[in-house]
Amino acid sequence: MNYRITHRTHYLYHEPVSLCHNEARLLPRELAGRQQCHRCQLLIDPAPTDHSERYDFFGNRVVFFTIEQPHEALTVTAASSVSVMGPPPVPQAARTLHWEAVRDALRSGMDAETLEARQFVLDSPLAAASAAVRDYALESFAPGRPALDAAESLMQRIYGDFEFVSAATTLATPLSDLLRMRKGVCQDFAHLAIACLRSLGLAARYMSGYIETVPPPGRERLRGADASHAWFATWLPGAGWCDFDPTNGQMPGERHIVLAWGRDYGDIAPLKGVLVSSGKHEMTVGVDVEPEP
Amino acid sequence: MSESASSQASHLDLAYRPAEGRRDAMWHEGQVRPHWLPYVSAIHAMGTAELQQLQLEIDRLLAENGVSFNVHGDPKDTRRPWRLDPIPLIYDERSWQLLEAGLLQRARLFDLILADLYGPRKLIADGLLPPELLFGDPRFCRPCCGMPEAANRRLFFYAADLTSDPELGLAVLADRTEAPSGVGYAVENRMVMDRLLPDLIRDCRVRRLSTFFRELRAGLEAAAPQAGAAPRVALMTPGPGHGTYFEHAYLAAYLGYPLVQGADLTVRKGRVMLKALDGLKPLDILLRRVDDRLCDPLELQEESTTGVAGLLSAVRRAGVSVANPVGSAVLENPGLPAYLPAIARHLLGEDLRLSSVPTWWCGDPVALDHVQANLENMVVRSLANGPGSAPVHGQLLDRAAQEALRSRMRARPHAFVGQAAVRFATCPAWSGGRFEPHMTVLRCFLAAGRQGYAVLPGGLTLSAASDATLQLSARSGGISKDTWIVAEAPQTHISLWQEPGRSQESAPATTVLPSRIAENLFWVGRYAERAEGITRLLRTIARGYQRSSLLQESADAQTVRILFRAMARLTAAPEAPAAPGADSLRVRMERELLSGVGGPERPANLLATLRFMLRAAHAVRHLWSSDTWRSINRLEGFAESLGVGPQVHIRRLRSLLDEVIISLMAFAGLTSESMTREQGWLLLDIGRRIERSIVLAEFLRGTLVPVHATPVFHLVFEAVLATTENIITYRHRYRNFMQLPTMLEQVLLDGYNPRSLLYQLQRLQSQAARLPRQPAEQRLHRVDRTVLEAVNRLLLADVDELCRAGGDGSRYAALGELLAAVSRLSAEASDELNRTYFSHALRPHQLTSPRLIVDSR
Repeated sequence: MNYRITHRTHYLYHEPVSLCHNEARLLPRELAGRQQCHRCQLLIDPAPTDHSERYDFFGNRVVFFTIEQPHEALTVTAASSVSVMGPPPVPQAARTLHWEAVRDALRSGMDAETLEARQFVLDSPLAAASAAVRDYALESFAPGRPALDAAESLMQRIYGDFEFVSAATTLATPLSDLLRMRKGVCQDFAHLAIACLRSLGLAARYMSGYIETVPPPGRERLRGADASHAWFATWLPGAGWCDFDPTNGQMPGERHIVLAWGRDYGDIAPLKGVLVSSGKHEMTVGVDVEPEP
Repeated sequence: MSESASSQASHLDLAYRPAEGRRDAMWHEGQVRPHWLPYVSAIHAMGTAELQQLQLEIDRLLAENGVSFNVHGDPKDTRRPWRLDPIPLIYDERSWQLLEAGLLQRARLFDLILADLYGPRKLIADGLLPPELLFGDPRFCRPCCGMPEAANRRLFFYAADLTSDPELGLAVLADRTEAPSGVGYAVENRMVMDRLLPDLIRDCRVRRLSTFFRELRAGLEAAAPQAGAAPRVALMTPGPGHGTYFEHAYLAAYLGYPLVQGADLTVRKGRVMLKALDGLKPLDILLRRVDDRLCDPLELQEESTTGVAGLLSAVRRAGVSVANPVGSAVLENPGLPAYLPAIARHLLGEDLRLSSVPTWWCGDPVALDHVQANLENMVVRSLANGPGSAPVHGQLLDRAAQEALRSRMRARPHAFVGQAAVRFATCPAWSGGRFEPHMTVLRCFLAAGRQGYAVLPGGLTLSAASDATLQLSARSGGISKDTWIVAEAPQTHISLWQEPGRSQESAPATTVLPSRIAENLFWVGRYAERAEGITRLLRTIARGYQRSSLLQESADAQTVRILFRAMARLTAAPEAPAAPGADSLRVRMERELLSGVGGPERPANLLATLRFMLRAAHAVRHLWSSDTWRSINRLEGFAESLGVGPQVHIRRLRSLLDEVIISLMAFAGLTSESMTREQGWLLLDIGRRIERSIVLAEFLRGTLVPVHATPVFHLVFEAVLATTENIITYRHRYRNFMQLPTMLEQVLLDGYNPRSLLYQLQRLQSQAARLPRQPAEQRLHRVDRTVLEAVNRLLLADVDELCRAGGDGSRYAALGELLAAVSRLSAEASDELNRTYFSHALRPHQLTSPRLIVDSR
């Protein structure tokens, strides 16, 4: 599938801002065989006085920019054309691997790929294991169950057990509260699943990106109604990273566009900034994901 | 000599009993070690009384030099005095050389490890370091990986804490690689010892410390990312609230680098710029004492105002070198020592010469079992380095607590490290008039020079009466010792200043004045002047009050009341409410007088003003000469005596006020005679002139504007002359003719009288003209205009008109108007200066990040 993605973030400042430094992770990753970027660019208004691009620790594209002249609003628009082929199918051998075998491979594996995956077994600030999280996870991870099957079950349980409510949580809401309230947004569901997998010694990473949303029948697709999306991936020897979307209860295919990944949201916030100003600010975000021929 | 020394030493033996089962620095198998003999015989010759005296002298010098440290986590943020034992830790040259070789090897090794961990991480791929140990360590800063410049993976400073255990031998307790502190205290300790025992230090051939700093500076300045002109270096501190701020200021002054905070810096086009009084100046090297996590709020910990946004991006683009590189705390990972021997063989092809205390990382199942089984002999550390992660001594836990710890370790084994508990070495300490064996830790310091590392030939030794307190001593205040390496050859004195070309190299750095420093100097000037004004007035009142009769309507009593009204103007308070009639007039006056000294009724009383002045002075302490610092310290002492409560007796108060004035004048004199006439001094003087004209104008408004009847008039007249330090000149000029016109000529309008109003404003005018300006913006226009207007008003004033009582004859209306205008214009000049030069008051904020909200069901 081909998509054109427009992700626009607008800040309105109550007092003029004289200087700001920012980091944007808004340009999608290039993924051989799964996702190809054609034209991806960042439009910044007012024009930055300084700007540079790099890849971060996890290989995500990062744009650093500075605005030095006084300004009262800032608009950052990422415009990307992407072809999505979707993740490759999971090989049969990896499908039947027991989750305990995956865990053991992660404990001792010294090949480059396993070494890379081992760091995602460890807790991170927003996705840390606990007894409560482990208890929730164990219902899906019975002894001897294939890892892929168990992870899918975990995804489906979160999809079924949790209600999508946008104002119920914040970034600071602990997972223990989330487990009690049983409501949150895609970010919370991804963090919960990641903590569950880590509590069992499995590797899990946080995926950020977009999904194509299907409009209700007979109505035109709403522009700007969407925002960025989040899901999780877990690692299997012989198969690599497999994606799961607990918000939609399905394994991402060619309708999920990958922006960036990290240990949790904290590693890959789409836009961060430090500014010099005495006043407050308001922010609006709009995302359009339109299919292209 | 050695024979007599050893007989005296055996005499000392009676007084010193080394602890059982410890290695003692001085005592070995019933004898004093030979390299201690010269020192031991010298202090023996001194005797107890003289040693006691020596300790007092040490305390006094340290207090006068303001050597202090802050106790972390202390809610009152108190500065504690630094303490130094007259007995040093003494090393002979041969053992020192062995230690030195071990330290140099460790520094080289850590340097290679740092470059690898933030580069290719081959140590992990090659199986020499478990990935969980690195990736589970919050010290590991992912944004610092892959910095292009080699200099930004280089370990510039390294320190090691060492002790000698009877079984383990000499071993490293901890490695310090983030921003090792203590070297400034080590230098200060030596300076004090050198001043009090110069002959002994010479005779013992104690190695000098200064060569180390020459190496340090050369190595640092060679690390500029861009070759070419003399590099600009600055020392970056978290600020006066930090535990070792004293040292930051001390080192900045000692090395000749400006002392800066995050708020003084900004990143522009990949360069770190210093916000100086005359614009933005690029920096090449930051010697940082700010924690890794706080260095850059954009890429590291958000909400940090200690660092500077964009710092890492500047490092990445080779715009600046940071020493130590951000992220270097990762080498302080407590589990790393377990893997050092193998890494040393792998990277250096050498065996580790200086071992760590035995360490087990519990992520290894075998190590976990060992630590669990031997918990009583372990110090358990957590991989986390935040609050609540302090080391735990297995021995000090009861059975239940041990079990709880074991279960936490089983749940997250990779987050725990066990370290063998050590029995610290001892060294004699002078404690309560006796020699006692105290547990000691020696911190050694290394710096990357132009060619390889240099070791400080000395160190910072901390001692405490028990193992447990020693573990905490760096935070809670142990006693320090000088550390002597006694050489075989006599030592010549080497000063930092003899370095060829040094003054040229540092020229650019010293002339740059950060705006924040300028602002603090300005406020030191203002508060010092205000403190002086209030003190002089209080003194006049105290005098008049003691003289006044008890009668309500006496002229003395009325005068005192007029002066109280003037005091209310200076101390930002309404006049104190009249106390209920039961108290005598004397008691009421006393209470009011004391409220001007301290207490909650007057927010700008003397005590508060002094404290504000001292706070500003502390923030720029590296700029004061040691004599100036002494005068500041004396003021600090007075502030303490004044702050003890309302119990200051009125007689004691008068002499205390006299002493405060003398110290303030000493401070004024020292700054005016020993500061170069650069921008710093300019700001200090401008602050003084602005404040003196405000204080003078307000005081005169309160005293001279109302018309007084004759006996009171004479008393007020005299009080005004005394308070404004004009009385001698007035008597000399006009004898005893008390007339308002002559008084106004002298106190208001005499441009040659440094205590007149006109003098302050004309001086302000010429000083302000020397401030840096940006011609295109005509930035100073408004400051100039404001001051000019005040000067003109005074010059054009007609004395006859000023002395004419207006309206109902109760006020000198024109005088009142003139004084009010001058006071207002002076305050406006201050505001304009603030806006023009100190506009960094705006603090950086964090943009809120978008929260992901998607509902596609």
